[in-house]
Amino acid sequence: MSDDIEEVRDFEALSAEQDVPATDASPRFPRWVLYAGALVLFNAASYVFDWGWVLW
Amino acid sequence: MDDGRARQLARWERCFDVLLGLSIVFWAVVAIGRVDAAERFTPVRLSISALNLTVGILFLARRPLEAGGGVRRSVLALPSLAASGVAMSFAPPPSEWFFFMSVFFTAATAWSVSSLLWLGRSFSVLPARRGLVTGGPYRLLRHPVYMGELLMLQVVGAASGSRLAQLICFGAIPLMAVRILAEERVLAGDPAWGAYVRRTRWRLVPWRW
Repeated sequence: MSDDIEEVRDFEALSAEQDVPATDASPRFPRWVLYAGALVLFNAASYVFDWGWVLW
Repeated sequence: MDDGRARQLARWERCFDVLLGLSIVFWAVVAIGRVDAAERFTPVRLSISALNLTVGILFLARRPLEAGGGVRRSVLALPSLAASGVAMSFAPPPSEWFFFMSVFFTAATAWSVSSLLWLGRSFSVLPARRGLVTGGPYRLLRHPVYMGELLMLQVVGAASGSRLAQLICFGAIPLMAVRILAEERVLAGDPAWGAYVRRTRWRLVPWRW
């Protein structure tokens, strides 16, 4: 029983470590991972394709 | 979230905005060089360059995030974001478009750029809140930039002989509706949102939606 409680506490502590608050059913990622991913993806797409724009 | 962590997060966001803004400006300039010399100074190409440069500059200048939409709403917005670039890649060179198409496209782009400039530092690409803007074109429609972009897309669809391009341009309408609804869920957290929605009734198309 106490192990279960510890596990819940660990999970809560881990959740608090995440930068993106889960206000809905969103998966959780540290925000810097999303930022770095978006930057790499945008620049790679722009290098490979002429249309790798955010808009046009 | 404690103050130190909030400050660290704000620094990450600022760093991302600056790097992405510089990337967009860089690729916008590179694209001008990549286009054939005959196409480079057509109104369509010039207006696209103006749009992309505006987006890049707004990334450099925009306000810190008040509230983000989370991963799920961001993913919902992505297909609409990609549709315009993909559709444009199928279109024939603008110098081959009918004159009225170029005029219509350029006017729609000018509307989008002026709406973006009005949005100013509250600019976001993915669902987020950075301060509600309710004046200028935002007095007429809640999403004037998307209305301009939708018109641009329909011109691209009409100019394209490709059925696939026409499908993408038409399919962008429901994708844009999904993006708008995802954004409005986030914007609804602003205390002034309710009064704004009562005053500016139409999201995208006047008297329709």
